[in-house]
Amino acid sequence: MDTYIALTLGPITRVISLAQTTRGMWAASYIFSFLAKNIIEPFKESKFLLPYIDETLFKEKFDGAGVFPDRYIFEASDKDFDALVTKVDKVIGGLAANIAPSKEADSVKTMLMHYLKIYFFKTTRKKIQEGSGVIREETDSELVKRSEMQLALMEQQDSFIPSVPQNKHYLSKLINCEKLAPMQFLLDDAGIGKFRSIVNITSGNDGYGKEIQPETPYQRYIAIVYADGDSMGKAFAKVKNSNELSRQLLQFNKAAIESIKDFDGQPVYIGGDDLFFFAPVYKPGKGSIFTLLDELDKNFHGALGKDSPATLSFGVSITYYKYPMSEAVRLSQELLSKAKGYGADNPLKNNVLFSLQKHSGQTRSALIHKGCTDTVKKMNEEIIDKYIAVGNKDDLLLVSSVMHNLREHEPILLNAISDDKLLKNYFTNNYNEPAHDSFKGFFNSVRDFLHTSYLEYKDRIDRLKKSLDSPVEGRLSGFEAAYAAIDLCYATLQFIHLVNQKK
Amino acid sequence: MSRYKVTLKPLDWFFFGGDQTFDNGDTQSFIARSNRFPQQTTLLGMVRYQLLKKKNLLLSGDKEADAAKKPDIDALIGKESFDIESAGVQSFGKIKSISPVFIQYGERRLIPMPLTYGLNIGFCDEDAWMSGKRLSKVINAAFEEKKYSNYCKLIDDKMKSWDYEGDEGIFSSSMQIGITKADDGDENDKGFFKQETLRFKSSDTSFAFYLELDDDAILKDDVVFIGAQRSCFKMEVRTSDEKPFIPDHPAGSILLLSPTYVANRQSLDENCLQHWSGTISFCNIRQSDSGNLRSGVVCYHRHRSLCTFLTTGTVIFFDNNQIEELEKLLNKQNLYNIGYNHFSVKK
Repeated sequence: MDTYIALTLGPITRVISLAQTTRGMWAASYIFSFLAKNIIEPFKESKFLLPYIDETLFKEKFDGAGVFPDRYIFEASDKDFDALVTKVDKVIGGLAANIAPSKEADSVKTMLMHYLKIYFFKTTRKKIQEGSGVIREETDSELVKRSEMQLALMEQQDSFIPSVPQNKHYLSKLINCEKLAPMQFLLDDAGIGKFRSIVNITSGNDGYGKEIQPETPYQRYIAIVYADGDSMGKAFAKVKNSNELSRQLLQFNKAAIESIKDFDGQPVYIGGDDLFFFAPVYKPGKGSIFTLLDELDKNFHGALGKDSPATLSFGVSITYYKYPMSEAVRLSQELLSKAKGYGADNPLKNNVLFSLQKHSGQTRSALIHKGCTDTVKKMNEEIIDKYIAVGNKDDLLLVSSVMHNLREHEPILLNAISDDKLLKNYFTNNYNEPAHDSFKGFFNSVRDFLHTSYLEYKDRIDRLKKSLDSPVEGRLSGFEAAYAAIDLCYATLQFIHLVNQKK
Repeated sequence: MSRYKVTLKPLDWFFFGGDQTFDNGDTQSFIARSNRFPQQTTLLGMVRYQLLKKKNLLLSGDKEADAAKKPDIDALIGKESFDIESAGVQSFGKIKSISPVFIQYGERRLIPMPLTYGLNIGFCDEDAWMSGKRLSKVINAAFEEKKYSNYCKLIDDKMKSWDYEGDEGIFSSSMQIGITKADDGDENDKGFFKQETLRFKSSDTSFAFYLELDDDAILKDDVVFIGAQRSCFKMEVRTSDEKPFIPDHPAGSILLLSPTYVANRQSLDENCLQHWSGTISFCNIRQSDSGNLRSGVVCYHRHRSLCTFLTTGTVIFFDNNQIEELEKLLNKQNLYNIGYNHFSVKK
């Protein structure tokens, strides 16, 4: 057979924006995994170019995480196209029957058929003429790339959302239902009885049960994380077997679910190179959310191998637990988009872009270039791990004082940061009271972190400038590296301050 | 009949609402983001009000005097506000037509960028299925999904592109946070809101539209209040014979030059190859004279209907045998007269 079917499902972002709770967010995301699983199940014996499909995905449960992604490319027989049309019709009909009263199921099915963007097409392997005149067949990676572009084009046809009054919008009602019964079919499919509430997640509590109250200030904050692979096209082109990368990604998915659960986080969607999960900002005994991200990064590189050009970028929003859920998720998605370097002002990938928004509305964000390995190491090991969850009030005041001085003295630091001696002088002159004596270790750590991150960021930016065809203007000139280093240090200290607060 | 160009220069931050509101209606939300453009019905309402104001026909609260004004009001601006479900063409008195709104930036006119602009669009013969519709051809183009951003762009009459926001953008935005109180002053658990307001980055920027009025209707420069929280604009009215500009779009396509209402989505799908589209929800709140008087005061019905429009910049591809039905579907005079359902056909 040389015929393939390429399939895409959506609109995931639009449906997720309907959700107002963690459970709703999970349901909105899981619905697409549920639909995908049921739609492709009859074709699971076919050869899949994207993603890797095996029996375990259909039989195993993954702690509530959806594992079926939104795009599929598989080898197809002549009859498969019509079979897929029939199957999609049946699955959508089944969904309508699950979410709407029986007398309205037909009209809801019609609404869902237009609302959901389930698109697919049939294609054959193309012939390509090389520059030398030789004609060859498309490789798997070329076919996947072409098909993905075609699916992306088809997705531009927006679903013409029927004008449905809120009380008839059964999809929205499912996602935001107060009782579990309406979404029981999703919970059963995921193999979970319930979905943890936000405070259960931030407190590291398992189960649903009675609503608990946060005991510490940091339990009032939740980390919402989106992650996505960078340079996956290059990684795909590099492997010999089209299934090999997908198999590696499945291995990564399983490891990621374990890491997230171990941190008392809650995976929502873990598929391919995409992750979406909730997590506490700190877990005693394990570390901070940044520790978890580091572990996920290791899982990724462990599964794909150190020769793979692929990397993983993260968007992390840390928000107060009463902040509107859909906004926090949207923020996380935007942060991921910027972390991946979409747009001219940050074309380097392999980043964590995080934002810390306090209940007061005060927001601080910073970028961690994961390629700057010393910076990452010092941030996690020399700053966060050493000074998080410290015991006394003086330590807390000190962190706060240094943090605010970073802002107030920014003009000085912008000029001093490039010279370790000048930085030393800054700390010596500003923290020379007897009360500061016992904190020399902390000042040294902060100074070292500032200087190291500046050097690594500057090197990265200089390399970028050389690699770009046109001159770089605006944000990538001048003090960009210094600003980025100071922003990162400030945000890190603010994060520690948040976790260390007693009340 | 006289033709004018009406410009609306914001005097402060502004907010244009959509179907999401802060009230206790069906679509209550904590966060509301301003639309980039005012709705055409908003402009119609503003023109109607201004005409009444100039003729001293605004209702004063005096029952007898207001009742006496009604025939003149009806003749000047029509009997009722815009009704999207109207079967016929409504009359708005002396107001004959309103064009789709655009942005006037210095000497340039800006409209939302066509969604296919800059792409070499073709079709390839491949069996496809899209939301219940079977196709034998699909759109084909060299398309980089990650770099595509026509949704976030405007185009001017010199075919230069502009960003909505960002360093080179036309708009800047600000988030306002507040707590609404319940009517009796008690705490309102759902009172928290965030509202995004907008302003133009350059003071040389305004909204604009073309307006056709009967010769005896008077509209003069004024300060007007439109949008939520009565955003304030300086209105200037000048005669004009300027024609709207039409950006390039592929052969065999229709480019929507304004938000466009299609009553029957299935009909659209059956009568086009594909459409590269955006959608926007629209809530038509209309007020009509109930024909009743209560204590001598004219009573009004207030109706609310939720619709979905295709956005400006949508491109609809067709085969030649489909164009007639397609034009019939899109050509709605009642909508066209107030600036909806304007489109360009390229065969």
